[in-house]
Amino acid sequence: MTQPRLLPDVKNPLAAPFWAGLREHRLVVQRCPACGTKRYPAAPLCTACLTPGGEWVDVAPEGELWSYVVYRRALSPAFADDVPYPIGLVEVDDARLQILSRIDAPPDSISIGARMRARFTPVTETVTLLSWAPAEESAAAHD
Amino acid sequence: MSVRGRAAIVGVGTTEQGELPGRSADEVAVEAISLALADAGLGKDDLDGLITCRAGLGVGGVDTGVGELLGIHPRYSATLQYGTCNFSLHLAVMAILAGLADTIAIAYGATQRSEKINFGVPHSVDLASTAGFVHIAGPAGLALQRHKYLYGTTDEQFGNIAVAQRQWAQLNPLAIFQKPLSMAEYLEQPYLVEPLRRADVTMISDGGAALIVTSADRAAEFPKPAAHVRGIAETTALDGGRTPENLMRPWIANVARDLYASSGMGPQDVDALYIQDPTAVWVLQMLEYYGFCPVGEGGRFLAEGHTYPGGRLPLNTNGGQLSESYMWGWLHLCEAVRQLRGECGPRQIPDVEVAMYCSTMTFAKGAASIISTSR
Repeated sequence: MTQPRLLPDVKNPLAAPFWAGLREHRLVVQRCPACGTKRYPAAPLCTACLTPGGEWVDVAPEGELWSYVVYRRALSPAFADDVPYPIGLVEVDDARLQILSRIDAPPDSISIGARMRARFTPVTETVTLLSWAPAEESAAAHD
Repeated sequence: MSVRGRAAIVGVGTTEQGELPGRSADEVAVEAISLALADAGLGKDDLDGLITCRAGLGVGGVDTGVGELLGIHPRYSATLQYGTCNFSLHLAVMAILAGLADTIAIAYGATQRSEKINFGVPHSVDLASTAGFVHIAGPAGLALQRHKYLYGTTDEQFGNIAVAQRQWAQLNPLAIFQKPLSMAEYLEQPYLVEPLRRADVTMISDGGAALIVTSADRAAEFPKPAAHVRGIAETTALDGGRTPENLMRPWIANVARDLYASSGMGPQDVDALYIQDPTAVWVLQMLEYYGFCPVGEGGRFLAEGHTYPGGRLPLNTNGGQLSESYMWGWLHLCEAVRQLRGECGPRQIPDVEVAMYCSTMTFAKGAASIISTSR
């Protein structure tokens, strides 16, 4: 992947543990200490029962591709060097969380319903990004 | 409860659409109000209510600013943070029913084109935007790709939305995109965000629109035939953003249910249909959820040609945001009123009595109204 010019604020206290998790090649999300509901993206309280805070827990970084698009034109100048690039919405098996990110695969090879697994790519010293790749390919490359 | 017989639209104003350099959104909104007042045979001091709308992603549109420029001090004023006009109309109807005001201007002005607003700038930098998931074409494209996967919808079926709206626009002098667009030309367009092409996504334009809403008891006092509000409905999906299914926006069906229940009407009663179209995906979804065809059948329904000029379900006869102008849905209701009055020249639908306008605020709210020549 081309190094993105748009980078997250990994020190933002609300989401810092998420970005720290990606640096360790782990997918971590918040779990409500009261009702156990997992949530992504990060929020200051549980949207199911309104209990403040949340414990950060690991979820298996794999799931099923719900849908995808292919950006053929850069709608933000930050991605001018990246087009064409596919983006997919993966429904993570654990808690049906939805996580949108880049798909590391040729657009023609992508299909809805495919098993996907996370790939972790450091892009700066402090930022590691998660992208999705077809599960078999990802396993061969990383596991 | 029904609002039938309580409120009516008696004035419409639309400014030039396109590029209005050097002008503010508030100034354009005031021009639209002035045109709507003239259309209704009113002066500005006849207004006792003003409901404005934030100027898209641009600057302005707050009631205190628009009201000051308009030089009025109505009993009631308010600003809505979001457009589409349905929400503004509904607030006006509520204000009339509550006795807060009786003659209300609802208005929108925007200069987003001249302000060079970049709709590709993410609201916040999260994992998705870092990956390049920007612009409304992203989530709309995900929804369309899923629709294609589930129901076999084809590019050509879907393309009938943009192609039909362009045909309507060619009959509308206000429309910005008048150049013919054949299905072959549509299919030759490269994808913007696959599976969406440029023609499936709204343009960005400057302009203003306003309507005058009053109590139905007074409707006969105005020079033009009134458009009576026969039913309104809304819903929200404020908590829905965390499951993928929300991209398909199934909760729109709740607006349809409530609208038909409150108006005593159904899709078979609609002579002219308007659907707000930041992308053509919204049209596909709402055709289905409002019962013009079964869910999943939108593609096949469109391919039958019903929505084109001369078809049995005239849809977005102004050209919509894909071809007329991007007024956050406001021009759809202006066109519906003009169709009911019989003012639409070559694109006039014969014998139109009932018009329906459906809109949504992204993935969070839905609204719809039925208006009619009869009270």
